[in-house]
Amino acid sequence: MFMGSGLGPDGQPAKVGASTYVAWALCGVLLAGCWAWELYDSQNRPPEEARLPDSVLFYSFFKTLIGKEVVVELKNDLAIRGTLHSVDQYLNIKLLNVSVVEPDKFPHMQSVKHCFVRGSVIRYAQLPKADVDVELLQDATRKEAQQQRAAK
Amino acid sequence: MASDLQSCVGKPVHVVTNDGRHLLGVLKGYDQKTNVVLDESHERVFAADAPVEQVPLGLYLVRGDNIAVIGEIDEELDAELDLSTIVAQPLKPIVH
Repeated sequence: MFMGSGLGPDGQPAKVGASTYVAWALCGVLLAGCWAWELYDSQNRPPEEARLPDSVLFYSFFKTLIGKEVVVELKNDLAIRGTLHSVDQYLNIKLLNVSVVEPDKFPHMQSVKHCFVRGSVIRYAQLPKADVDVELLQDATRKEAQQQRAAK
Repeated sequence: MASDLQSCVGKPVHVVTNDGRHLLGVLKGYDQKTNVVLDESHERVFAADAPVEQVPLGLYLVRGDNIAVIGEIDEELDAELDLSTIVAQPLKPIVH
């Protein structure tokens, strides 16, 4: 017999027992619970940009330096000078017309003209002083910190 | 993304790994995590007391975590190199 038909075996409406009411009520409570949890969870989920691996600010900052000559020092002490060609969200950097700062110590990459440096291995980036607006950068960092505080 | 690598696909590249090794080969592909496939690859082994040694490796897939630098090789410059005269301390490993 199919429970959901609403008809008893004699074709008359089936008598609905108290246990059926309880079952339906339980289903309702469960559904409401799921919905409430989803609502709560969606409010507590971090916004999309907060989940990015690095500060968007420094990504934008490096983008303003494209075309300038920079020196990138790596975490293996190798320092590479070149023209900043591009940067991505991980602060991976592509340099054009590179030269190694201490060619006598590091003659390993003499035939490399352009190179891609993985952001995670960069220790320092030496920037041209004239092209960095420190005031603007300070303002931007303060603003970002404020936004992060407000979001918490 | 690592779209900066698109221009290197199909060309010879020089990959420096985090442990200071040098892998050279033709870049066949890459992904957003800088995982890289190198074809016809070989390793250049630098030593303080011996000239550079080349070790053939073949087709390699290098996990992005272990990559420090990917350099586009200028083939003319590379052909001019006399590896037997290059003696250098191997690169230090990356220390985070």
